[in-house]
Amino acid sequence: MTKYKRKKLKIYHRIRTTYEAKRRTPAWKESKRMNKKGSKHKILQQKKKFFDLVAPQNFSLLNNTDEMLLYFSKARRMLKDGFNVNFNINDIEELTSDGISMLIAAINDSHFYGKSICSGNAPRNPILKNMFIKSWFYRYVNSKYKNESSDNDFIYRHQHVNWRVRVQWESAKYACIKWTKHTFWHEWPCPFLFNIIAECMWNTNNHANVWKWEKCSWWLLAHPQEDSKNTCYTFLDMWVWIFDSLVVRWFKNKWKLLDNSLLVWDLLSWIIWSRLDKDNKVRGKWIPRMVRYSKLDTLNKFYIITNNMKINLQTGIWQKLKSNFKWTLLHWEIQPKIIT
Amino acid sequence: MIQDTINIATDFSDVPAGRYYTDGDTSWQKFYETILRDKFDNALLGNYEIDIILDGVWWLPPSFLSASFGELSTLHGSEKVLRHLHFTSNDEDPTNLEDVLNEIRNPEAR
Repeated sequence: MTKYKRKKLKIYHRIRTTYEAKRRTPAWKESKRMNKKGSKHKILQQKKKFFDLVAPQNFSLLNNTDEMLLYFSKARRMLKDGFNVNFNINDIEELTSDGISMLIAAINDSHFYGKSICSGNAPRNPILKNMFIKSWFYRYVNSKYKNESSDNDFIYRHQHVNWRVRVQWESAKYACIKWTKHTFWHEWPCPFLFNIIAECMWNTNNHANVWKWEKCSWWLLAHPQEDSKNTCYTFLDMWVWIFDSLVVRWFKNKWKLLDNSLLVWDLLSWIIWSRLDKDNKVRGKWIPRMVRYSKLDTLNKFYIITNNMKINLQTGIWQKLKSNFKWTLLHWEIQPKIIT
Repeated sequence: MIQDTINIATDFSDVPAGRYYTDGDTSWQKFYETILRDKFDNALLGNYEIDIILDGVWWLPPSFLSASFGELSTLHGSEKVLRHLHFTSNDEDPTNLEDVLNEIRNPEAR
């Protein structure tokens, strides 16, 4: 045996010994047992019948908030009870980017589907189907359209990051520049748009929470409208409940406030101060800043939906919802400058 | 008279963010302590202006502004700060410039 072969054999045996030692550890055995159990559960779950949930005709969280929230809370309840759910959106007549973002966020959230399985279909209406396929929806589900996603229609950025990566700069820059050409006829790093996107990313619950660093999850979606020069942006933060955050809860308890609507004005003008004592006087300016941006003439609409409130930032008008929305959705639309 | 220049995008970062050192490498604390404070003190002594160039900066978050320019304004007063700091922005959207000036004028406004 040559010296080279002997050396190679020695390396091989070293690797084998390490691997065999690893396989004898309790942690390894436990993980194998759990994997087996998990796959068994999955096979059993797949054999269960899928419950068909027909979606509301107007599949838009912004325009049909109550029905949509009811639809998703029903799905959540069924999934929690161990049923498999089929999201049937075959017969929908209207579809918006915020509706798609809600659907994709829900079916990718393990807290939402638990141990059950979700399935679904595409709209029958060819225009809506085209919009659905062109979106990056299929990148995040198992489907034959997985690789057919277009690069020209939507942006999704899904994050599970640690607290040190607060803002995904590259995603934010891309989302900001990519569609300015559609609306403003030329690509430019639109400052107010970047500010809004970055503020949204920066102020998700776990980022703003300095006591406990956790993973966070959000979705950003941009959709240039084909029939106009407008571009819609949806930011779905899957953790923040503004009216249920610690500081707001404390405020509500102190003043015995049971209705969230009583807090809307305080929240927008940030009378409710930051929960942190350090530099408290200069903290918490991001919501007033958003309100200021929402009044720019290049913004067509700006809404926040959280808990049981839907707030129009531009007018300050709020609408009380019938059910509770457990996440926070920010939706805004940019439009070309009106030249007078 | 302008005798010194700070180009935030090239001298520091094009996306400054965060309040403290623990928030990242581009925090206000770093900007304030390594660049702004010393240059401003020199400008006060020499009685000249510093030109602060905002072009190329993507985002000036409230935490960054309030704790850099806002801090300076709280310490020295907004008039003094505006006398010694001159801001340049050639961007067609004045958002960033307005944010900085607002912060200096009302550092603790809500």
